[in-house]
Amino acid sequence: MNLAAAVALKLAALVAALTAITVEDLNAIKQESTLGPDVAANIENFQTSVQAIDQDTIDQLNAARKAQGLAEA
Amino acid sequence: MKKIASRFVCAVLLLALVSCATLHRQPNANGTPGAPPTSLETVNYNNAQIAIHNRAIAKAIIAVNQAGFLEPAYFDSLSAAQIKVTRIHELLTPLLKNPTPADGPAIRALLGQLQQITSDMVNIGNVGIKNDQSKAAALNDIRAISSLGGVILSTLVTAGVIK
Repeated sequence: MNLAAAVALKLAALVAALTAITVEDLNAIKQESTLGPDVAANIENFQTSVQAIDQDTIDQLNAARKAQGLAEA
Repeated sequence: MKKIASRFVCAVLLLALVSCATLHRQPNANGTPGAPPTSLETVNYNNAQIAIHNRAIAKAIIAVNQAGFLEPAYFDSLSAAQIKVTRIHELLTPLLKNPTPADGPAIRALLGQLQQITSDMVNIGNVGIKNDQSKAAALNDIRAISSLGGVILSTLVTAGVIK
């Protein structure tokens, strides 16, 4: 594989990842930014979503660390 | 390469849209506009944005590492710092559900820790991420966490919830 092809492959992997991030997050933020009439329910929804997202973030980071032979943090 | 470039531009535009989404309430049943968001809804919305930006950073640093633009040593320190940010955020979130003046010192302390660690992450990312576009995207998201923390604090203070 020549250098240009190797660079193109790496860029493709990077851009695919970034695109996946933004589409998913755009959907999440759209959903979160439209409030219903019940204030307490809205706050509870935010709390539940944040807990799930934070757990997902830690899981993804620790899985990537493990794949690199690093200890869980 | 053109296709890759156009996908990258789409990604950047979508990121901009994510950052610009505004908080609003559904219209009432009779079609009149809904009440404006309360300060606590705004605080919790901004807190949710922190979580979303934080996860975006996680995915970005994993992607740049896999693409070879972030050396293992920098990935180690950046991912460890980000896990610390997330753990602090896990402590902060329940305090924002129904904060009282007594929660003020804890909220301030956790937001201060968030700012310190995100500042460290900016320094690590600046040196460690070798691709300029990836670096700019990741650093913007890291800075957004710090800015949103400031907005949360000022919203709570302005609303008189904490001193």
